[in-house]
Amino acid sequence: MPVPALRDVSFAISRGEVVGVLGESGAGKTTLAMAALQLLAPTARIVNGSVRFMGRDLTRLKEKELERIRGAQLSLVFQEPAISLSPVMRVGTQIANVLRAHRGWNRAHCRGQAEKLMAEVGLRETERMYEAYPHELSSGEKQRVVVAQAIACEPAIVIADEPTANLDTTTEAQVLQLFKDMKARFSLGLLFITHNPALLAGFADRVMVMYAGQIVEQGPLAAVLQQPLHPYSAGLLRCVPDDRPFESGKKSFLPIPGDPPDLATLPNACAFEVRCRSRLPICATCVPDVTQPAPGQSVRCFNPGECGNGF
Amino acid sequence: MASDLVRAVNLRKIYRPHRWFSAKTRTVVALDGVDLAIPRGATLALTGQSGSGKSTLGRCIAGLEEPTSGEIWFDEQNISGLSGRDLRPFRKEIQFIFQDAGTALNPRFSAAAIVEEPLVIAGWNEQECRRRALEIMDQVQLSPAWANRRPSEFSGGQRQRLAIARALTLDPKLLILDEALSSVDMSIRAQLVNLLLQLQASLGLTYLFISHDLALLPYVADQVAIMNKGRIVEVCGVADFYRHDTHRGYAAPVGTGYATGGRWLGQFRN
Repeated sequence: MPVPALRDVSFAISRGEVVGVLGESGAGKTTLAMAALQLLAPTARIVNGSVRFMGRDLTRLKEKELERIRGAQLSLVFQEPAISLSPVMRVGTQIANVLRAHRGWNRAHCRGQAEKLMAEVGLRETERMYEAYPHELSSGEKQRVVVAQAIACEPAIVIADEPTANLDTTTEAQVLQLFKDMKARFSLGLLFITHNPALLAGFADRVMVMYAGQIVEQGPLAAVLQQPLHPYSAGLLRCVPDDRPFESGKKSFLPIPGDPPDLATLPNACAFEVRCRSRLPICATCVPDVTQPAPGQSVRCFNPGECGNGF
Repeated sequence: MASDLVRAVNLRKIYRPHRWFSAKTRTVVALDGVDLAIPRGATLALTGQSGSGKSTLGRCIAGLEEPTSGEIWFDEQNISGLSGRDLRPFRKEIQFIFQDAGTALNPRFSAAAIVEEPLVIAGWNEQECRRRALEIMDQVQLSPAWANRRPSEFSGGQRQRLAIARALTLDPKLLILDEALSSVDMSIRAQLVNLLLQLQASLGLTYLFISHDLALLPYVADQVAIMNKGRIVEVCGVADFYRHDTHRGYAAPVGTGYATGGRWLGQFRN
């Protein structure tokens, strides 16, 4: 039976812009990234819709044409750096190979450029590091190598899928800083996928909140964090620990009750209805359309903004 | 003190990694004279950088590792020298919850089978086992209707609840949670924190909460112990830990902990 992993998802991202994608596991964040790059598993099918990138529809391109775009103009950073890298190839070579494949430079030149990129992403002793194998690197260093690969050909768009998950908090902060530096240094568009709203603060320009394969809220960062319109966005923000819990007296969570829905058996209703604190009778009867209660901020909810501030 | 459920006295653990083709032996001092006491019914958070010895300490207390020297007292009894049959009664009192429930649960067992396995080993009859398993699944908010599902059919948060259920089967006194909330989503983390607090209140459990996420500690811990290079450098109440920046001095290398927390969001809070 087909499972709808993405439903009616539309968005745009341009150069120089950071768009955060927020949502729980199973919301369709990774499927979205894979669909954008045409890297979906053979069992997945794009039923309708298109992915337009620099004037071309990626869903209509042949594999050979896609190969020229992927990793060059449109690149991806995966969640787990240890799996993204080949364990039997020196990390420097893995960066140089990206350049060789897309730029066609000779080996020596590629090596030089790869070392420059390694310095760019904050790796030290690049000459020695070039010769290292992934297992000799810490997880933070590995993720830097993956970022170096992603930016090697100065892409227009980079999609980062939970790039800091599974890193300890120190390394997480460093890798996040790296992405912030990259944003400032190159005018690349970054689609940053995460389940942690705190990572987006002070970083993303816009936020899209995903739930059960849909974008349920979209808007400027400050608007979504301060005045979340969808009860799910508000619920997610309530799950972020307070940094001054003793001063603010907020020492307990008010989590979103229940579990994410099973996409195979979605009802003809708002998918969040069963977990929602501000549901109306209409929520259980049909799927809400996208509305724009505030300029630049759109939401898929019959009762938007009735959840108050996330805090 | 009589009110402490667990005490570690001058605990040392030295690893001598076996190295192929090398005559040199390098030793790693994972625990370097650790003294620790966990009060009954309380939560002690153990924090510190990666490699500071937090997990080793937890594993020593759980009996998964044997300390090189030192004593572990549980419920006024010295359990450090015990092994095999003598240690058995204590094994059920101390349960361990791992970071990744996905790999900690047998993928070929049903949910109920995972939860009831300890009882099967203890020799309970089939019906009693199932009854108890369903009772505990209910306690951790897993529907008894899911008893025959396998771990892969659950979400990450549900799997971690299943791991908690299994740990509770034998009515333990102490749960050791080794980064148990580190690999689940923020929203699930909040749910699990509330579940753990609720279980602690109703069952009188004692927690050793190993975590590098400082932002979470005020929500779960009564006391915080900070480890650095195999030693405990500081133990204090959780409020003090947050009130005084001096305490954060040790914590700073632990990292921003706040990366997951509200510091970045602070600017948006009203």
